[in-house]
Formats: sequence, structure tokens, C-alpha cells
Amino acid sequence: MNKYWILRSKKISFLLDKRVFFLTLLLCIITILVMIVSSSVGELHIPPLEAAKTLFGFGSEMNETVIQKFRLPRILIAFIAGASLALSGAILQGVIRNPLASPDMIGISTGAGFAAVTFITMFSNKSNALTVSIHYLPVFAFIGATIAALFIYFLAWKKGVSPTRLVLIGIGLMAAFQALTTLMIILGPIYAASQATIWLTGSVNGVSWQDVNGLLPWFILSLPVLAVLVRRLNVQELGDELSTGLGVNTNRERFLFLMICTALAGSAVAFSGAIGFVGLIGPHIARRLVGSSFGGLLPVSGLIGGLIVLIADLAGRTLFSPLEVPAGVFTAAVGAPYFLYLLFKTNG
Amino acid sequence: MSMNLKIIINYILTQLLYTFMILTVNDIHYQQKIGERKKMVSKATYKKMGIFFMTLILLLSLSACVGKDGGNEESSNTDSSKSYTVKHAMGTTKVKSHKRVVVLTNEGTEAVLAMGIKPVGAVKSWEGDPWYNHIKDKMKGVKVVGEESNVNLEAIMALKPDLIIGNKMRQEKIYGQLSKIAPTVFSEDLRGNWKDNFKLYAKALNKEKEGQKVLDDFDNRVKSIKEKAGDKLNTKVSLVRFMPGIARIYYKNTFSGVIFDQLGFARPKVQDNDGFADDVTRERIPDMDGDIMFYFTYEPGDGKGTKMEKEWTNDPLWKNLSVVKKGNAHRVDDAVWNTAGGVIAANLMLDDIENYFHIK
Amino acid sequence: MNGIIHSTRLKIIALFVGMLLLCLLMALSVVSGYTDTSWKTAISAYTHFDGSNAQIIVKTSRVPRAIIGAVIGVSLAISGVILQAITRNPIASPEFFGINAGAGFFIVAAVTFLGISSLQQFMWIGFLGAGIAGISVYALGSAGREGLTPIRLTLAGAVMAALFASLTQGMLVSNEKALEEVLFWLAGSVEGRKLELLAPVLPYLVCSWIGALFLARQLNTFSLGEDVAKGLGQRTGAFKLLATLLVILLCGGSVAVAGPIAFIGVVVPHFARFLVGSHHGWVIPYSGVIGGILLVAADIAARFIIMPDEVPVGVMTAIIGTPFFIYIARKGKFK
Repeated sequence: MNKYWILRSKKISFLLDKRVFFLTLLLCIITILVMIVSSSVGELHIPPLEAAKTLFGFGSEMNETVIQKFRLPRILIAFIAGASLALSGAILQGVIRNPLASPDMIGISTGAGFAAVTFITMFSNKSNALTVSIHYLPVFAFIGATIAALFIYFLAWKKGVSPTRLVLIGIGLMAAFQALTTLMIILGPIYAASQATIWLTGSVNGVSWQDVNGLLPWFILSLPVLAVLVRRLNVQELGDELSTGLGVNTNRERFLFLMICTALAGSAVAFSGAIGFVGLIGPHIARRLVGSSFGGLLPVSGLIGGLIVLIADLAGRTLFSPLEVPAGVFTAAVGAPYFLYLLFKTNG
Repeated sequence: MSMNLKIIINYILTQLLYTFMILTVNDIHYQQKIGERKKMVSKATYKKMGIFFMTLILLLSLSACVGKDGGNEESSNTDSSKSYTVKHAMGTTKVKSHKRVVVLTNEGTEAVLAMGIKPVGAVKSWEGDPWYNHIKDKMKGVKVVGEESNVNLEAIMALKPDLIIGNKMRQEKIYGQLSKIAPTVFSEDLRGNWKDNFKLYAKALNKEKEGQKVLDDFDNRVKSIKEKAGDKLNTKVSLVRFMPGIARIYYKNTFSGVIFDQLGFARPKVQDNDGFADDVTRERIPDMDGDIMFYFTYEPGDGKGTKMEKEWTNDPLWKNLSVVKKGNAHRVDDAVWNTAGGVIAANLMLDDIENYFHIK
Repeated sequence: MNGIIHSTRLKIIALFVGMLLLCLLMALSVVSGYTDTSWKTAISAYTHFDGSNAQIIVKTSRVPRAIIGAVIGVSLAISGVILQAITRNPIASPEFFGINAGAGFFIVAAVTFLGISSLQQFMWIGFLGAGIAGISVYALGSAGREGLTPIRLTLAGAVMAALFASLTQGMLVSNEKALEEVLFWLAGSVEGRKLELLAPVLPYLVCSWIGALFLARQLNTFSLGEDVAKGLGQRTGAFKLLATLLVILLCGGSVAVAGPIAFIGVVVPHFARFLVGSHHGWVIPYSGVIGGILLVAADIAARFIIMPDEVPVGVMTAIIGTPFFIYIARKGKFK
């Protein structure tokens, strides 16, 4: 019995791990099921079959509006944001060579948060109304995330970037950005403060197709790039000496990977706010399932991350209906016990 | 349908773009495979990749901005003879009827009630469960559709409204979706002066006459109080609010500040400020002095607001205020004096003022 | 490692100069702020109290915050020294151990769920939270073969801090208005804190300072490495327990009074070592004095930056501390 399938064509050949393949397939099916369930429950209950029908364009007009205009964008954003964060976490954990790393720690969320608060304060006029469309906020937040990541990379540079220095400076700057955000909130008009805190909590309530349009390209783009680069990630994880020995320009690749991380996590945070813990737990669970080779780890992490946020959002909009609870609260509720578990397990 | 088509075309275009770009990446990959073995990726390819990513970021940022407001198209069935158009913060909207109204702000709810319409749905009041005490009776049977800053779209949809009244500051992000449910009218912002928004809401309900009457009644009341008050208008009125962990001095551009300004009451020198409010430290308690003080406490329900009030009103600096020593500091209802911010609250506030200043 | 001050006599003189500077800053803190007060008002507030506003402000607001600022600064800096010595880790400090966040979370939780308002209980909950967070991070960070490397410690601390932060946020989701308050509180501040808040904690803090001085020699031995320390006859287990207890008392007490204030614990010990070398008999008092100076100075600055509003002092220390921290992180030879 062979663990792998071998696919060959003239130019390209690769090994496909059977376990990874079936697991990915299974997760895809679960994801689709959850999506259908998620599009059927809510304030208006639509039977799953009806929902599935509506998804393919054969439903009543009312159902169509509810599902296609309200639920579908939301479901997609939740899934893509979760998947992006988990992928970004998996890559970062490889680059930093530590399973406790997560995208928040290279300043992406706090950078985006600072940019968002600055945006709200800067573009408010005297009567507290925004002078530009609020739809520019994600663009601003994304730019903030990118600048923060670049800044951290730049400060951590000293004849190359060591993972440790990167993390230390990332966390140091994270604290600084948080302080600046607080300062901005205090400085800004009082109404802006409450608006900013809502954004910082992070929620996918009220997203539209336009947001999906903004987020999806980043995700779709990074998939093939990752597929090409995945072998390098395995090399990265071996450590600086070994990977340099294998002829890899470690620093440049590290930079490349960090930029991919930023693109993924930054876009996710820009559209859904700072949803915590997915970037940390997603890859962890995936590693449990398929081991730490990145070929299998990346797709499985992505799917699991997406599922987590999908379910969290489902819970957030149904449990306390008609009040909405941000998805981030539920990911934290899952994250906390998981980490306590991890703590006990490593101790015992 | 056209919306869906637009999305599909958009996707196909972006997909094409990305496939093209991915191909370039693959190209790099191959180059490196064939080329130098030792140096896996040459400097030039990195430069290429750098340029590639830069253009990409630009393109993507652009694509995020393009195709912005799909939401402004109005429903095109305009056959109803009774329909009317309303100009508001997000454009012009055609309203056909207003039998089933959903209101998404606290002050808007009061405006609608004052014009004799009971909404089918409204956002939860900031204080009270779910409605303020002073509107509780009138709101019996009205559905909660989330909170002012976190609205539940589906709950609104389920009510099948024919008019939605909201506010740009709070709900700009979801205007597109709201207008898919029903014609939606947004006021621009939330300020101390509730009358501007009220006039817009009257237009949205096609009840400008009734609305004007409500406003005229209010103005007449203000006028008569002003006349009867006479010298009492020289009393310097200080306004203070406590919230969990925060104490504020309220200036003139606040709900209660505007009403006192309209009545012509004087304010203490530090508070004669056209701004909104200041969060203050204990050192600024002396700035709270005046001839008469009204303070109100926002209490989210866990006792923290009241705790803050207790701490501050027991402070030696507070007890040192001349207005406190003379017994002229009055605790008033926060919902009426500030948080509700609508026409009903404004009238109730006038009642309070008549009482405290003994104006008959 | 040697500092820039070599002779013992100079070290003693410099320490006294530092203390004097701290006292001067505290005095400055008493007379500066929104309300005009002079040295005379400050003194007469205690000699001829006449109930004027200025005098009341001096007595109930300015003096308490000057004293609290100094005490908290000293405590946080000393706890940083001890943590860095027992973990042999240059970036160990209360905030990176998640201790601040942990104590903060437990206090907010106790207030929200149990309605606790007694100061005594506040303090004990602060200690409890600090302990739980510190031990969790230590366990999480030292699991596995490599042991407690700086990077593992940092990541574990960040994870715990993130965990506590989101739990705190989750707790408050039902009333978002209260978030503003917590935002302010979580940033750490000495404004409006009363002396009664400090009083129950002070004995524990002062005992911990003295305890830390007594442990100085042991800390020197231990920082050579645990094996070496054992070889030299140190009872490392008992020592570690004692040192951890001191850290928990210092951090838990500080957070209970002022909320989490970042960067003092990590930056100050480095500065002290730069001055007097690595002997803990000197590093501890120097760190204490510098910590006090830094926090009191930051608190004075916090009043003037956006007059008449105030910046929470935790924000000030973060903004002042970050560049130093980046310097330390860049200087350290991390592999």
C-alpha cells in the first residue's frame, strides 16, 4: 500500500498524500454543508432544501433577497477571512518556527486598527459626520496593516532578520500601536470613539457583495502563489543554517512570505475587523490532523480556519437574535478552552 | 438581476487578470528551475516579483474602490399615484407608502411616534428593556431590530417594512442592503439639535403638516416659558453627566444644551462653549459650578454609572461647589435629558424645567 | 558586565541624586496640572487647611497620584529585574508574561460578575490574576525540549495577553458603552486613584522591595545558570518559589491600584544595568529609583499633552518605552 498517489505529466509531477486528499475533500463537504445550513437559518427561517435551491437561483424573490443579498456575502466573507487568517498563521508559524505565532503578532491587526481609528477621526467633520464614504475604510485599514508589517520588518532588519527579533519587535510595536489607538480615540470626537470601538471588535454583520469583491481577489491570488512556494516553506522551517546551506536566500524568502502573510491577514482584518485566535488555532488543529508538512498543512489550515469563523458567525447571529454578537467573541470563546487544554497537555 | 450580472462579469475579469499574473509567477518558477541551481532565485526575478506585487497592490486597491455604490438604484416600479420623493443624506428616494415603518435611531423613534405613527420595528433603546420608560406604553408590540450601532438586517426584512428611517453616521455601511428591503431615508448625523432630523423624518412620512405642528407646538411652549421665566433666565445652568468611568461637562451643542440655549438661559463662563462635551478629570470639578446644576447618569444596567456618580458626588471638591452647598444640584433622568434625544424627551424636559424653575 | 559607574562611592552618590530627582519630580507633579497651584498652596494645604479648591485638589488628587505613581514605578521596575534574572531572559517583564493582562482581566471579571467593590478584595483578586497568568505563561513557554527561550516566552505571553484581552472584550459585549471605560482602565492610569486604594497594598509592596534586596545575592548566583547555582549550593527550588511570589505581589498589587502600565518593567532594568553593571545589589535599587522617576515624569507629561484632557499614563509609557524596547530587541543576540 502506498501512502501517496503519483501524478505525472510531461512537465510536472507531484506526490499527492492520500490522507490529505481525503481530509481536504471531507472538509470541503463539511464547509459546503455548513454554508447551506448557515444560509437557511437566521431571523427568517428558510428550510435547507429551499435554501440550496435559492442558492442556485430557483427560489422565491424574498428568499433570494435574504440569501443572496444578506447571508451569502456574509458567509463568504466569514469563510474567506477565516481561511486567510489561518493560512497566514500557518505560514508565520513556519517562518518564525514556533507554533505560538499568529498574524496579530506582526502588528497586522493593530496596524489596521490604528489606521481605521485614524480614518474615522481624520475624516469626521464638525458635526461628527464622515466626509468620505465609509467604504474606503477597508482600503485604509489594509494600507495600515501593510505599513505596520513593513515597518516591523524594517526595524527588525540587522544584516538579515532573525525570527526572534521579528517577534520581539512585532510585539513591541503592537503595544505602541495600541497606545496610539487609545490616544487617537481620546483625541477624536466623542461620537467617533464609539464608532471606532465597534470596528475594532470585528464583525461581519452588514457586509455586502462589494466587500466580497474587495476581499476575494487577495485570497484567490495567494492560493497559487502558495502552491508554488510551499516547498520553500518546508525549507524555511528547518532553520537558518540549514536552509542557507540548501542554497536558499533565507532573508529574501522570509520577506516574501511575510508579505503574503500581510496580504492575507491584512485583507481579512480590513473587511471583517480583528477576529482573534483563528490564525493561531486553525494551523494547530490542522497539524494535529495532517502533520507539519506544509503541502498538506496549508489547505487543511485554510479550510479549518474558514469553518471556525463560519460557525462563529452563525452562532453570533442566531444565539442572541435579534441582537448581533460579533464573530470574534465566539472565536475567543473557542480559543480560550483550547489553549487551556494545550497548557494542561504539555504539562502532564 | 442586473446586479448579479455585474458581479459575475466583475469576477470573470478579475479572474482573467489573476490567471495572467499567476502565469508570470509560474514563469519565474520555471526559470529558476532551469537556470542557476545554486542561487535558487536570481536578483532580477526578485526585482520582477517586487514590481509585480507593487502593481498588484495598486490594482487590488483600485478594484476595492471601483463599483462602489450599487445601492443607490431605486426600485423602479413607480406606478403608485401616492408616491413621493424625499431628498436625504444618501440621495433621493421614492417612497410609496408608510404603513409599515422601521426606525433605526432612538431619536427617530420618538419623531415617528410624535407624528402619530407606531413603527413596526425599531432599534433597542440605549437604556431600558427594551424601551425607555417614557415611551414604553406607546411602543407595546413593536419588534426590536437590533441596536442602533449593530442592526439586524434579517429582522428588518422579516417585518416587510415599506419605509426604513436610519442615520448615515450609524448605518452608512448597510445603506445598500437596507434599500434592497424597502425605500430607505437617512438623516445625515446625530447632533444636539434634533429639529433638522425631525423635519426630514416628517418629509419621509409625508406628514410635513403634522410635523410642522409638532414643531410649532414645541416652539410655542418654549416661547411661553421664556416669557414667564423673565429674570430667571439669568440663572447660570450647569450640565454634568456621569457614565461608567467617565464624567462629562456638557456644552451647548448637546440635546439639553440646545434646549437651554433656545430658552435663553445663561451658562457658566467655562460652559459657554459651542462644542459638544468634555471628558473631565476630578481637577475640573470646580468648572461644574453654576447657579443651578442638573446632572444625569448613564446607567447601562450593571451599577457602574451609579457607582461613578456616587464617587464624584462624594468628592470634597464636589461638596465644595457653591451650587451644591446651596442645594441647587438636581439629579434628572438621563434618558429624557440626554440619551433619548427626540421630540418626546424634549417636551418632557420642558416639564422638568418648569418644575425646577417654578414656572407656571 | 560592568556599567558606566565604577566606584562604589560614585554609585552611592548617584543613587542619592536619583532619589533626590524622584522627590523633586514628585513635588513638581503636585504643583502642575489644570488648576493653578503654587508651592505655597501645596504646603499650606497641610499646614493651614482652609478648604479652598486648590488645596483640596492638592490633597485629594495631586499628592495621591504623585505617591502612587512613584510606588507603582518602583514596584514594576523591581519586578522586571527579578523576572529577567530568574528567567535569564532580557525581555522578561510583567507585560510580556501576560501578568498585567491577567490581573486586569480578573479584576474586570470580578467587578462585572461578582459586583466586588471592596478595595481589599480588589487587591487579592489582582494577586490571584497575576499568579494565574504568570504561571500559565511560564508553563506554556517552557513546555517542550528547548525550554524557556526568549522567543517562546514572548509568544506565550502574547498569546495569554490576547486571550485575556478577548475574554475581557467578550464579557463586555452586551453593553458596548462600558467598553470605553475598560479601554481607559486597561490602558492604566494613576489619575483619580485614591490613597485608600494604595494603603492595603503598600505593606506588601514595600516588603517585596526589601525582600528583593535580600535576594540580590541569590539572584546573582542564579543568573549564572540553574545548574551552576545548584552546584554552588543554592536551593534553587525554594529560591524560585520565593522570587515568583515577590513578582506576583509586586505586579498584582500594581495592577490592582493603577491598571496595567507597560514597558516600565522591561526597559528600566536594562537602563539600570547600563549604569551600574549586573550586580543585583545595585541593579535593584537603581531600577526602583529609575522606574519611579520614569512613571512620575510620564504622568506629568500625560497632563499637558492634550490639555485640558488627559492621556492615560499607560499610553505615555508605551509611547516613551517602545523606542527603548526596540533598541534592546535589536541589541540582543538572539539566535
